[in-house]
Amino acid sequence: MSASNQTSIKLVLLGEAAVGKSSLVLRFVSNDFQENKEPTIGAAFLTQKCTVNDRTIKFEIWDTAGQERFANLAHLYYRNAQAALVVYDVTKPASFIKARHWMKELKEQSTKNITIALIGNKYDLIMDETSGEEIDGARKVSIEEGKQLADEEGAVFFETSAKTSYNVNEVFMNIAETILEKMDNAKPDENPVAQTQNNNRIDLTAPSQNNINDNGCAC
Amino acid sequence: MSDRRPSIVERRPSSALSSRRPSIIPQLEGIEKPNTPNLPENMNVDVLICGTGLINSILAAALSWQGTSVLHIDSNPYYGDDSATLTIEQIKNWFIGSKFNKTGFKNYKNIHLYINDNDFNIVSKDYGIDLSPKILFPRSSLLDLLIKSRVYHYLEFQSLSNFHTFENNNLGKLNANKEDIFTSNEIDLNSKRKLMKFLKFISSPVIELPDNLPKDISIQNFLKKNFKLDDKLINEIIFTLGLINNPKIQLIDALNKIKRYILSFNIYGNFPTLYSKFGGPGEISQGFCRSAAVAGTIYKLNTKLKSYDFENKTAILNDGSNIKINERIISSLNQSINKPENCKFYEISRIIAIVDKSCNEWFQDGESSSIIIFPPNSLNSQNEYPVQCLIMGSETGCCPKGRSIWYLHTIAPTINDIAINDLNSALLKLEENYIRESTFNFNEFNDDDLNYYNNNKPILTESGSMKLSKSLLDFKFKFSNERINYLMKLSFTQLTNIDQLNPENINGYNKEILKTDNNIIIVNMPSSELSYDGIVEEAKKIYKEIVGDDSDFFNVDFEDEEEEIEISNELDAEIKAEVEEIINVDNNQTTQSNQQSEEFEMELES
Repeated sequence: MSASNQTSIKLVLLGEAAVGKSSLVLRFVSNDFQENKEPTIGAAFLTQKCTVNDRTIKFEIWDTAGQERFANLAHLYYRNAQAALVVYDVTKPASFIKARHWMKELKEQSTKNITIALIGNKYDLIMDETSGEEIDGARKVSIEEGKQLADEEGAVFFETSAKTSYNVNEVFMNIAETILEKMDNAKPDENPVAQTQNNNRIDLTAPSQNNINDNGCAC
Repeated sequence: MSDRRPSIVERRPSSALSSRRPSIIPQLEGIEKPNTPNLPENMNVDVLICGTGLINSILAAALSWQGTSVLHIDSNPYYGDDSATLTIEQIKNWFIGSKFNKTGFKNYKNIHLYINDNDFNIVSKDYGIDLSPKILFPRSSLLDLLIKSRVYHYLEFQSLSNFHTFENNNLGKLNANKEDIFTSNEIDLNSKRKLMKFLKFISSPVIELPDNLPKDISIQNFLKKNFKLDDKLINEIIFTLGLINNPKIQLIDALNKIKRYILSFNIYGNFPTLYSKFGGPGEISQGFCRSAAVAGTIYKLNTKLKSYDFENKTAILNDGSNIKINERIISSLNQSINKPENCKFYEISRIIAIVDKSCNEWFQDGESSSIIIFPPNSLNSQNEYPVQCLIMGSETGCCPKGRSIWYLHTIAPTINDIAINDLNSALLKLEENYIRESTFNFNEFNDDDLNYYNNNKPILTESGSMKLSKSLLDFKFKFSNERINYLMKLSFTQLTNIDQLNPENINGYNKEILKTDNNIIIVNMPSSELSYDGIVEEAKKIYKEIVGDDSDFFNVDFEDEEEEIEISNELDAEIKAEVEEIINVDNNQTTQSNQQSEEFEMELES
């Protein structure tokens, strides 16, 4: 194995349906936003690189693919996730209650060392563009409460807008920095990344490139 | 008040906190339990699938990528149904459910569960216990499908090299890789020649049977008469390499199964099989369910079918929802509301044991699992059918360090306790052998008896197996305090609606489609086949019944194609150098061994 400066990070999205999980990723990955986006189907996962100093973090971002709707995410989804975004909608109290539930679920299902960010999305809906002030009564989840939940669970907290791209890159940069920091401070046997990367892992797509003299029996 | 928009820094939550006036937003703290929404009213789907076992999950994914709208439910709170990977707590629930024959656990009997929770502080979720463990051959329809569907992205695969055969109270490892045969000290030259002749025969693209073959000749007699192989080798070839569990298998099917093993080497590396980390079929089911969800399948666990009005095509679920079914309902036998017509039940008996030993002695260096086969008549119980064992160590992600999971199964009949006696007999042999291997004091022996790995770890034979070398066979096993403790022992008989003893049912499946009297398609229970072979064919069979044709089975144009290609190009460049390095090393090795084998063949000819 070469000592590459690139680290792959599995990041999972959690949160109630329609809080803008996919939109956040879309903003981060392709700097794009779709109004009235359909519920997520179609993408298995997206990747995006992020450079901190001279080191590169490659995010492998897993979307819920709608399996969160009836609280039916598989173990496989959480497995080896090194980072998670728990997203709620700042205008929807129910989505915040759900976020608290996901935080708990993460504790039970994921690796101990996971880096979590709690995200209050749709910040644009509570901001008056011209005045730069919050629109009266639009906000339904207070910053304090978000911050408190994040603190309790050892998560970082951001309010974001996938629509205006407010704070979106900051979230991912913050996670990248945190993970690099954890890697630097970890003892060799506790490295959050090395722990989950196994040299006995076999790449199933390898033979198609290597076996040119294959006699073609694919029964 | 200024009109200036707050800067990014000011808008950061940390700074916002200090400047903001007290919140007037109602506190949400204390409201803990979120509501799980119900399915939409007047929901309308093409296909309802009950049970998230492996075949059902492949079907859900295949159908939804084809454009069929699918609702996929399971009566349990986890994915996997009859092929689930369970924690210890889930095993306890499974035990209770099965004892009471509840929906979701309908096809089990003779269930006994022992858990030693007092001596061992068991952390339930550290364990992943497969109800029907399986291994993967590199050339197989499931592996092709994992790649084609891209479900392999979600999974991790590891190699499994060691296939041991139990004979004369010992575990031996047959070297079925040509290179190993040449270097083996255990096989005499005469046997090597016969074995090479057989390997040459079986490796040909199309197996051509000799013309003058007696009708219905068994694989045993065929190997004896045509290749003059001895009984020990014949047992190893049929039951260990072929993983055949029915001694009455037809000749050509047996040869194809043996061939499957022989042709598996050097596809992904110098090993014959793989397994998925963190659990077998249960893990792969989750992968296909995720794929199905990506394609639009709606998932709702903890939900079961309550009734189905076939005339009006209306299904009622236990959550009260009313679903209009445009096409069909597919259900696993475990979760079906009624039994299929003319359905008989057949048996597969299993023991699953978790022990307080790593079992590293049984694994190849760098690996964490092995296969151990007890051929017919190798046990004190005079077993008519082989007992197949899969040993999973801690690196499989299925148990903590210092422990391992032993899976044993047989298709022997349960009448007169035949099956359970065979299984317990095999379990005892595993114990005895393990203690002998692990308590060996290497200092008591001459250096001549031992070989060393590169890392100076002593082994007893050239092949790396645990078989005692000849000079050590006289060694008397001293009484030792060392013993194996069971953290868990589960034994049960799993029912299936396909006769596992009928040699025509290849891989334990047949061509028929089972239906209930209200036209629900029933998916078969897992078969006794230790590999995944036959699973994709089962899914295709039902797919064809619904779609009318299986030519577009997973014929998918992925939306994210471009993205993926871009990424894989990047990846390519990175790993190319590494891969090339490995290939170069491999090439050198292959050239050497080729030379070796050519030399050997010349030797034979002269």
